[in-house]
Amino acid sequence: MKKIALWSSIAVCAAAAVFIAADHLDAPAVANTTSDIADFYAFQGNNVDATTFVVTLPAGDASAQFDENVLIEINIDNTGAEGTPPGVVEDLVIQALRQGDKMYFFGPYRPSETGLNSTIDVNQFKTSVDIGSTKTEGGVSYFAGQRQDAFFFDFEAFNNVVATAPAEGFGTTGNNTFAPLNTNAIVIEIPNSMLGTAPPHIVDQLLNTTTGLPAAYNVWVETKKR
Amino acid sequence: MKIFNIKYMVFALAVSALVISCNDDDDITGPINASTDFTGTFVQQDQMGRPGINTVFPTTNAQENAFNVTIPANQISQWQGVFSDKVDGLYAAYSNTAGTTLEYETNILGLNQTLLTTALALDVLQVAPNATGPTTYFESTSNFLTGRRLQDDVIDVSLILLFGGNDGARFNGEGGLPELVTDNVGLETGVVSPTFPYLVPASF
Repeated sequence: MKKIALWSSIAVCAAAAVFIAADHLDAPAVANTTSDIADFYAFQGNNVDATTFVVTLPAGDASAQFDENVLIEINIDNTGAEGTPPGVVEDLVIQALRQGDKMYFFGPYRPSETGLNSTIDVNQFKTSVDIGSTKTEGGVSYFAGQRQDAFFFDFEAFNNVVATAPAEGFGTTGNNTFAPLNTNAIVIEIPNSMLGTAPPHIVDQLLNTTTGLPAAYNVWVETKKR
Repeated sequence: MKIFNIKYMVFALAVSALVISCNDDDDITGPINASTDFTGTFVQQDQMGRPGINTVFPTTNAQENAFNVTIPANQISQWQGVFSDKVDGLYAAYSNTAGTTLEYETNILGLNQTLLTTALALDVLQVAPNATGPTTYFESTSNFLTGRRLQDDVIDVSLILLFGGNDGARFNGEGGLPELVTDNVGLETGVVSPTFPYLVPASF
């Protein structure tokens, strides 16, 4: 494809913002559906011996709800890259599914199958949380409900950059396109002891070297619909 | 940290209507809503590791849809080339504006175009349980790729890695070049809370 043609396609599609963090403008198949993931965070929370996962989905208005048929699944690889070229495979999953006015949480546990399809092992049930509430149980803190979108990005300026390539680029001032937005969020703060031992950092694994980067889980989130 | 090391870092860049206890005795331990249903096979719709990857690098709608159902184990083999083509396209746009040919330059982490797009194609996030200091997407050249916090400016970091060249300051709006290494936006005040769940209530 000629570069100019490629560029045009970029502009057209461009929702595509470079690194539009909140993945708010997603692939057409999921955009504006209850399966659309907005954002994903993973960090050390107030409990330094735990990892906090935050998953958000767009919530256009106060009536927006988690879909009772959309499973939110956090995937954790704690064994590192495998295969050629190297990739990662989930060793543990944490699952969340709304039913009625509660969010039900399962895991972490090793799923019976990996990949694109999932089932829920009800024996792995941990707790349920009223939507809009927090709960700490078994050393794990849970939340599910609507929250402001923390993501920040001048998406409009970016669209201009990709559509017209203005000489000034982003320019010298920015406007946070996502400032007024809200999300449906789940937050889980879970002891690291429940996630297994982290493997060498993926960079070390991929390059077969030692960089000094600390051991790290590889994590990602999926939405799956029945 | 030596650039030599730094470059590697980014490379990476029943309970059904029944709440079953975790014991083997299968006690029903909680109240169950009669409508609760956890059965069935759930089929993947969307996925995300790092911010915005799928909205940026696949070129067509069909590719964006396909990326969302590519398991991480296959992402590098299937998408690195596509992502590299997209980088070419982004630079081509400003080549047209400038009247000169602009191409990607090995970035501040020492990543050439192939390494950068390889790292980005594997769309998973790293989080380090034993990190020294706060876990972060990029806080400094000695603390990075150990997580992603709510306050991390992932856009600026990403723009720098994509457009910043070997000193991180290429396309910084000076010398007649466009500003492409920051969107000049920071975290909004009052959006992040110091206590769990760390996000503040919605405001419609």
